[in-house]
Amino acid sequence: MEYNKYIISFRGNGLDYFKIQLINIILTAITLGLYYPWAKARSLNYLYGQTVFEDQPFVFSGTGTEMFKGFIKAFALLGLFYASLIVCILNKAEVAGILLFYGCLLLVMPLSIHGSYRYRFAKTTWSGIRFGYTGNKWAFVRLFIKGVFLSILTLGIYSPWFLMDMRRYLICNIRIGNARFAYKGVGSEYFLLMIKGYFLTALTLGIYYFWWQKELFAYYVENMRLTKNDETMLFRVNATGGDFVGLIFVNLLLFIFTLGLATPWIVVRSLHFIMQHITMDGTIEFDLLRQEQPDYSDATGEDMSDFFDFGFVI
Amino acid sequence: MKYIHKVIFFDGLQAGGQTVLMYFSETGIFIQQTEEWDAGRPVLFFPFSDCTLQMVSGNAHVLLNRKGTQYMTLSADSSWFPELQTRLNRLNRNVFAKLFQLNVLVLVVLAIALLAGAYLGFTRLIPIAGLRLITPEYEMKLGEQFQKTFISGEEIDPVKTKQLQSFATSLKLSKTYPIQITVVKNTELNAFALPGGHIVVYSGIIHAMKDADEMVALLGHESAHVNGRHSLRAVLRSAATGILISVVLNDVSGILAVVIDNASMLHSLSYSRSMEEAADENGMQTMVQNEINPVGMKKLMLHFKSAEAEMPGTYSFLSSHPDTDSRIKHADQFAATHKNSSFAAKPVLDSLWLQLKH
Repeated sequence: MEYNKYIISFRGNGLDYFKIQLINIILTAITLGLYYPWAKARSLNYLYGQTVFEDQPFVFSGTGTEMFKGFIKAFALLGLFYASLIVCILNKAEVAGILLFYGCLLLVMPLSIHGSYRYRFAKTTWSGIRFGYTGNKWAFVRLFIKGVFLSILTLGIYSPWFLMDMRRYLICNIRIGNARFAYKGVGSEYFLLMIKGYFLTALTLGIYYFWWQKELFAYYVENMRLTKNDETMLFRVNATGGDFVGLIFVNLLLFIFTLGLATPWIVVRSLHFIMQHITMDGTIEFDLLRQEQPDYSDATGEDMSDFFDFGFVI
Repeated sequence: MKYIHKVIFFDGLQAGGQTVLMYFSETGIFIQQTEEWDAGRPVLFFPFSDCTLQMVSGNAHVLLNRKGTQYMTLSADSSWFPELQTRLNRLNRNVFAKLFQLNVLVLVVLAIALLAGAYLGFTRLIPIAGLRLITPEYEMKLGEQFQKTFISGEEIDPVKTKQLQSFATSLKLSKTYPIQITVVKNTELNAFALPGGHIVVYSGIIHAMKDADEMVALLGHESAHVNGRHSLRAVLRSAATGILISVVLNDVSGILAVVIDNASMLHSLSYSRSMEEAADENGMQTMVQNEINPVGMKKLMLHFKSAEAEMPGTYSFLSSHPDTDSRIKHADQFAATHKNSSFAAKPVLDSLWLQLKH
């Protein structure tokens, strides 16, 4: 087996992305919002397409039409929830209504994350090879509900374990062709990282915040693996806290002084930063990666997660 | 053959690319997985209608199907690339592609014009539709709810509430809505109207007033807000703005938040300038209908303008409205037209006012 260093980079530029966002705004306004799924497809298409790994770009082949169908389904489901809540309240069964509502929400949240992962990865290819998400819907629902309950019972102390369990489950089920991702971060380490971060940030009047962000980023990235049979690829982070100062500070200034207009440049800068500071090495022969993941086109989860703002998971 | 080119082809079975031979016609791309073209061997055909071009820093990636599993890469410097590009783009000329060719400044202007248009249209249409859909009866119910939520955090003065209620009942303030007064124990100089007839008056404002006609002016002004359904209009307008912003920012979850937020923000909502002017005008007409000299409105305003100078920030009745002076001027003009009318004494009203003051 040969040892390799792999290169990932982001080639997009702010102006192109700005133009895409402007056209999205124009078309979304003209269609009174109906263009939203197509707008989203355009943005993802650009961001994925400008990310290059080993000289080959990623391709996002999800379409506005697929996501529009998901959008309608998600909207109908959401309408149903609110309608049942209102019916309960009008019939003076507030408690039952609220319980029903939160019960549904507790079910819908993991299902949307699951759906979003399935769709997003099934629609992503690299070098012609599809990604895939092989997680089990109900196993993830169980994991999620257990995590939420334990977090509530322990007044949030359990949440680092919950977050890491969730991340581990999600990432361990991502495939590209016949290679699989893995994540080995655990709750206890993450908990210590959070405690250390909170206290040092408070003690240094916020200065440590940037180094904390760097540690969290490294914890997410360096615990990932990609394996194919007995070949592996490791992920490393070469950014320092100082690099994060530059990223976050400049992004903030850009945002404030342009009243948010520079958001496309901020997105592009951040992606450049992330790709630039991740290095990968190992023994995987990517040329021999085989197509193995199935085709899949249901985008309901993708849009449900938009309704509930689950962007943080990905 | 000179029209046959070498490109790197990704077959969607295995990741590594292979060098293949390719030529294109009017309708699509032909690929043969050989080193030298052999007419007897199988040829793959990809119609242009299935192909998309993805340009990444000087390299062209021609996706050969809609799934992104098969594609070919070539350098955009090749002499024959422009021709291929034209053929690819000819079939993919949608609105987005056309707009993308425009200059960024043109797009900025277009977006701003559209947003401004949408904003104006939307913030006017939604309130009109909402006002038609919501009946005064429902508005009263809604106001009841808002009033309950609001007073739950405040201390009510039951005696003054009753006295001011009798004062208000002795006046003709509204034809559609029953005017219901709540006096809240609070030194702030404030009063506001809720949808459906509820008027909340802070005890500070009663304390600061001298004459009954000022109170008639205040009640006239607030009932004008009630009669004109101003708070409902303001809620609808602000909801419309919020929904529009959410749509533009692609933030669907925001739409729900806007609707929920607005309900609770009602009493801190500011009326537009035209609503305030209308409330002043109608308030003074109400005064005249009740045979009270409209000069009371000007007295009220002058009185509180000086109070505001002494205690800035405590007088909400005027502070949300920047051009107090022009309102005073308008009140003065209105009063001047009634200079020669005689207004009879109002013993009942005055005695109710005296009760309230003590």
